[in-house]
Amino acid sequence: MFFLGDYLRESRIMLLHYFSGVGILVSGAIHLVLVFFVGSYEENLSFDGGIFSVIAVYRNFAFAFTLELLLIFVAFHAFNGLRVILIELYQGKKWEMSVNWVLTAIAAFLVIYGTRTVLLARLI
Amino acid sequence: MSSSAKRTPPPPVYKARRASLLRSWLWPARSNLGRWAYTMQRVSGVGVSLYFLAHIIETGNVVGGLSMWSVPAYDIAKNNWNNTVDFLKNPLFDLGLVIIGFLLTFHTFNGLRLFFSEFGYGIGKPARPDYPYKPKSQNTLQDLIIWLSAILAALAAVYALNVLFG
Amino acid sequence: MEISLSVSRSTPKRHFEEFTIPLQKGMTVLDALIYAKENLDHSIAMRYSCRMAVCGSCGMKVNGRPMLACYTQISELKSNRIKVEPLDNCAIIRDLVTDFAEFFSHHKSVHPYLIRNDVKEQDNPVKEFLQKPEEVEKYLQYSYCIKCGLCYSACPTVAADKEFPGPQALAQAYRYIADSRDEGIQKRIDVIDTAHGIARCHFAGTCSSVCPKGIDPAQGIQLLRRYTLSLKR
Ligand code: SF4
Ligand code: FES
Repeated sequence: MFFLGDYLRESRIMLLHYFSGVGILVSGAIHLVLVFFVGSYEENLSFDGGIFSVIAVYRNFAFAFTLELLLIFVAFHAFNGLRVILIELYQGKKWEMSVNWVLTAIAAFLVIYGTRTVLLARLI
Repeated sequence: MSSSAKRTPPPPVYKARRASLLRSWLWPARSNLGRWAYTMQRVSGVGVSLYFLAHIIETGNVVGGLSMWSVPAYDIAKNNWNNTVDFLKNPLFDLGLVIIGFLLTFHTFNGLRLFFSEFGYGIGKPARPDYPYKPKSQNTLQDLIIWLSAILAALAAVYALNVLFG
Repeated sequence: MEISLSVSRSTPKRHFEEFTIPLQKGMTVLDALIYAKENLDHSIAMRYSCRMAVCGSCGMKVNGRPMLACYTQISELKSNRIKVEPLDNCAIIRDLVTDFAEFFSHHKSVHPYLIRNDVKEQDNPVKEFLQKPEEVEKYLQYSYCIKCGLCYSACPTVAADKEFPGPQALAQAYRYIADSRDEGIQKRIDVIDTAHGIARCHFAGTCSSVCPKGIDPAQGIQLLRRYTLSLKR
């Protein structure tokens, strides 16, 4: 993802960063509303009690899709942010390369793992 | 090896910078509000990133965690999830959530301020500077939003406290 | 009335030396330093020239904030203990004198001069470049920069990232890009739109709050960022 820096200008990466932030604002708000502001918190946190319980949210296509979007946005936004902090702290081609690869690997793992959660939970 | 013995020392400029790094990068003493927001935005970003990591791992338990990669039986999944919820139900994690609520809210609203500023809105127009040289980009609106983000973040923390402990 | 002036000295090890200075009306920090150098210790090293905030050589940290020593009245500090240190983010040559080589090399890297596509015409112009007053207003304040390096030493990103051009260089890039006579926008954006370029500014605004000439580098950088972010290119 971040070794795209060789092909994408930094300003393009940051453009993605800013707009993924706005994306998180929207999808994250929906996520938070579903947990805190509808039904009761206890029920929403339970596996299958009530209409906004964990499994019910996953089974609803629109909600699951929002969660998936949120996952992708946050993975990009968070790990790009960490990359920014790390390459500002120390400079050098080697360091930059390792930061990019390690962070990309962790972000990719999280996206795959989270997507798996969403997909499998829909099938339970 | 002889080559390593003759390696040139790092330029003095760089050494001096490293020495002052912790002082002037980490700690915004005697600085303007925006500088505090800069540090807070970093700290909150890192905090929320770590929470995100933990959250993805934790919610993976709905379907049985790392060890299970096929569709789990309903009861097993339910059991897994209940175990996770029980494990997370202790005041330490709840306190963590309160802090994350604070950081997340601050990051959101301060991030919105940065979003608009970075596209050139809300920072004033360049004009002839006149004494006493008030910088237009450090205006009341900017300071207001920073304070507002802090207040909203505190409110979010209070709300989370109420939900989790009340 | 007397004030105590503690000066950061670099030899043999970094330490502070205290001087007691008789306060006169209208005394600036630079005057106090000159008094100490003339009467108390001839070996204090500092850099100054114009004594009127024009040359930009007397930048130093006064009570923890980057300031021009000649532009800071002691009375405005509201304290009779004054601590002067060399600027942050620069290597110290001696006492209060810092190395600006890096700072100037960043300044030079953004092509701080008018670029025209028609170089022949620029060298041998047949008529003046015309500009409206509103067009001048767009960049005028940035052209007042005296290269004192205060913003550079106050910037938190510069403190960590040695390849970041710093507020001064980026503001100068904006000064020429915003100039209606200039045609070198692409050339400058190629220099600043890198992994250690303009994107590493996160709008802390310290640069603007310390600038002694009323320049607003933070504003210029955000406006410049708008050019780099625009999707049209
Ligand atoms: S922008 Fe202001 S603080 Fe920065 S070098 Fe120029 S005059 Fe000094
Ligand atoms: S001595 Fe010239 S700016 Fe202070």
